[in-house]
Amino acid sequence: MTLEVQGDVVVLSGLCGVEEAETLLAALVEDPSRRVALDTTRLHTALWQVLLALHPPIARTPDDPFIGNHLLPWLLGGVRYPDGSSDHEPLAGAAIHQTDGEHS
Amino acid sequence: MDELLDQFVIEARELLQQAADDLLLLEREPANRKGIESLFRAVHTLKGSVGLFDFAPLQTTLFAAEDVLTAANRSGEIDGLSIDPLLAIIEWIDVCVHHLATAGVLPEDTGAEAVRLTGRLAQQGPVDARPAIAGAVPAWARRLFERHGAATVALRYVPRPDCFFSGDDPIGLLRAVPHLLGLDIAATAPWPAPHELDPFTSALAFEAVSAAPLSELEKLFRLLPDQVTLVSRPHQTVSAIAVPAPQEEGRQTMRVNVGRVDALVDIVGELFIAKNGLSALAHQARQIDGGLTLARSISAAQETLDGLAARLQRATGDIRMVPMGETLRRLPRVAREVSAQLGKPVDLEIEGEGIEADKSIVDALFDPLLHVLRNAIDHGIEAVPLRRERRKPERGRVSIRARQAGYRIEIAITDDGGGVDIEAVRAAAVHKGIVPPEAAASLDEPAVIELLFRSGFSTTGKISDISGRGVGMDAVRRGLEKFGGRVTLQSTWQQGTAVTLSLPMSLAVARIMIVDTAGDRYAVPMDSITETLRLKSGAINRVRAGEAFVLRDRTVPVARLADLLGLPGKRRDQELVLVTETSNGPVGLVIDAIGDRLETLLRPAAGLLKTVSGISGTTVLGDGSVVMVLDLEALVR
Repeated sequence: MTLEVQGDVVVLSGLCGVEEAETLLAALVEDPSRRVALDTTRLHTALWQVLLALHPPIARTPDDPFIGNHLLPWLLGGVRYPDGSSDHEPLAGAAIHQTDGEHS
Repeated sequence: MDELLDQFVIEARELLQQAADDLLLLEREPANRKGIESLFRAVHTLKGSVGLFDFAPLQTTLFAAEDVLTAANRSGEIDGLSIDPLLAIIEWIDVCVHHLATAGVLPEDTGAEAVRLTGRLAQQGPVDARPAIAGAVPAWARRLFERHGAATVALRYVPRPDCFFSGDDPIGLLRAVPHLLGLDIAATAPWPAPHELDPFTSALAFEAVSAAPLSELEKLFRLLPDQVTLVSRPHQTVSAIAVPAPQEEGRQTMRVNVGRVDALVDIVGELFIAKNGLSALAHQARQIDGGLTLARSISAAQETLDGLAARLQRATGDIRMVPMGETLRRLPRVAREVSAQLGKPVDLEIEGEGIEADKSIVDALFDPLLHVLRNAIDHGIEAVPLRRERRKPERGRVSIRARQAGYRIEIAITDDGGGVDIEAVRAAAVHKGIVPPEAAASLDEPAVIELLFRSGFSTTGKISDISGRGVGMDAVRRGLEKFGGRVTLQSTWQQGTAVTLSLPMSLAVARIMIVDTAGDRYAVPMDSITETLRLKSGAINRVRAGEAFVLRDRTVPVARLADLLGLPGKRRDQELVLVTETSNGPVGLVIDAIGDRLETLLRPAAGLLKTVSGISGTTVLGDGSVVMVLDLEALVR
C-alpha cells in the first residue's frame, strides 16, 4: 500500500507509480480539505502534477534536498502559467532557492 | 595550433563562403546548373577535408547535405525548401570552424546540433528556436544564466502530453540532473477544475540550470531530443580562451601575413604600368626643339627603372615561393586514413618536398592531390585477394613525386593498382547518357580516359565517403586550370595508373583589356596600350598602301585588327582605336568595341598556338571562357 487515507491525511509512501495518480486525485477531489503527507521520495511525475494542480495542504515532507529545494517551493508557491501569471499567490520565501552549492 | 588544422581552417572558410554564395544564388535561381555544380563541389571538398580530422558531427551534416545536392544535380533543380536547412548547416559549420580557429577545438554541443540540423534537412522544416551559436542564447536561458552565476547549462524540458504512457517520469529524470542549481516548474495551460484534471496527461514544463558539463546532460536526455533543449552558457569573451604563445622563430626567418606580400606584389604591378608612361614622355621630349638630349636621358632613366622593376618583381615573387613539402606533408595522414577505412594496406612514397613554387600554387595543389590520392587508393589499388591473384605484393604502393620541369612543376601520382577499366568507363558513359552508344564505340583509349574528367562521371556504382561520387577528376581539372595547370592520366590495365599534375611555378598576373573585333573577343595586355581614341573615319587617311591618322602632330600608322587576324572587318563612321607603343613608335589599332578591364593570370601559349605569331598566350575569364591574349608588338610588326 503506497497510498493510504488516514483521517484527513492522504499518506504517500514507498514507490508511487503513475497509476496511483488517479487514486490520489480521487482522494483529493472527494474531500478537498484533505492534507497530503509525503513519506516517500519516489513519486512519479503524474502524482506531483496532481499535487501541483490541486495544491492541497502538505502535512509533512521527507528530508530530501531535491524535493526540499526544487519541488516544494512550487508545491507551496504555485507554478507559473505560460503567460507568466501564477496559479497561486506565491508565499513569502517560496521562490526558487538560490543554491549555488551542490544539491542533486 | 596544429599546422594541418590551420590549413583546414583557411580552406574551410573559402569553401563555406563559396557554398553560401552558391546557395544564395540558387535561392533566386533554383535551376542554375553551374550554381548546383559549384555548391556540390564545395560541399564535397569540404566533406573530404573534414574527414581528415575527427569531426564526425560535421561530416554527418555534410553527408546529408551532399545527398540532397546529389538529388538536385540529377533533377537539375534544387528544392527551394532545402535552401534554408542547407544554409543553416553551412552557417553552423562556419561557427564551428571559427571556434576551431580561436579555441582549437569544436564547440561542445556539436553532436546534438548535427543531429538536429540533419533532421531539419530531412524534413526540410522551418528553423526552430534552438540556437547553436554563442551569443544567440534564447531569452529564457539568458534569464536563467543571469540568476545562477555558476550555471553552465540551461535546459528547457516540455514533456509530451502522452509521455507518461511511454514510461517517462520527467521529474524523476530531472532528479538525476547532476549539479542541479535551480528548477522552475510551469503548467502548460491553466489548470482545469480538479474533477476535470486528467492525471495521465502531462501538462508541465520545466526549466533548469546545472553546473555539469553539457555532455553529461546530453547523455541524460539523449532519448528526448524533441522535448528537451539544452543551451550552454556562452563564452564570456574570446580572450578568455587560452591562446598558445607564438613559438620562438629562428632568426633567419620571419612570418609575414600573406596579405602584406600580396600588397607588395600589387604595387610592383602598378609600378610596371606606371613606368610605361616614361616612353611616352621620351617621345614627347623628342618633339621639343633641342629636346633630344632630354629624351635620351629619359630613356636611360627608363632603362634603369626597367631593370630595377624586373628585379623587384622577381624578389617579391621569391617571397611567395614556399617548398612543396607544406602540402605534401599533409598527404600521409590522408593515405593512412583512407587505407584503414578501405582495409587496403598501402605504402605512400613522397619525393620532392624541397621543390619550391608560389604559395598560392602550393596551397591550391592540396585539394587536387587529395582527390587523386583517394582515387588511387579507392579505385586504383585492388583489394588484397585480387592483388594476390595478380601476383602483386599485398601492400599497394602509391608514389607522389614532385619535380621541376623548366618553369613548371610536375607532380606525378603513380599507383600499382588495377588501372582504368576502359570498357567499364565506356559502358558507364553510355549508361549515363554522356555519349551515345555509337560514338562511345568509336572512341579510342585516350578519348575514353578523357571521359573521366567529365562533370559527374563515376564508374563505381556505389557511393563511398572516400572518393565519393565522381566529382573528383572534374574538380581536379577545374582546380588546376584556375592556376594555369593541367592534369593528365595514363593507365595500363592491371599495372597501375599515373596522374600527372603540371603547374606554373609562379603566377604571372597581368592587367588586360577585352576587345571585340568581328564578333570575337581577345585580350590585350593593358601595359601595351597607351591610349584609346574615337576617331571620325575621315580622320583616318590613306597613306600609300596603309592608313594613318595624326595624333598630337605625329603621324600614327593604323592597322585593323580584323584584317590582321584575317577576319571580315567593317568600316564605320566613327572608329575605335587603341594606340600601342612599339619599338617603331606608336601604332593605332582599329577594333569594334572595348570590354572589361581585369586582372588575370596569363598562360603561355601552348601546342599549336605557340607557333602563331601575335598570340602570347591564353587567359580564362570570369565566366570560364578562354580568350587569346594578343601580342600587339608582334602583331603589327
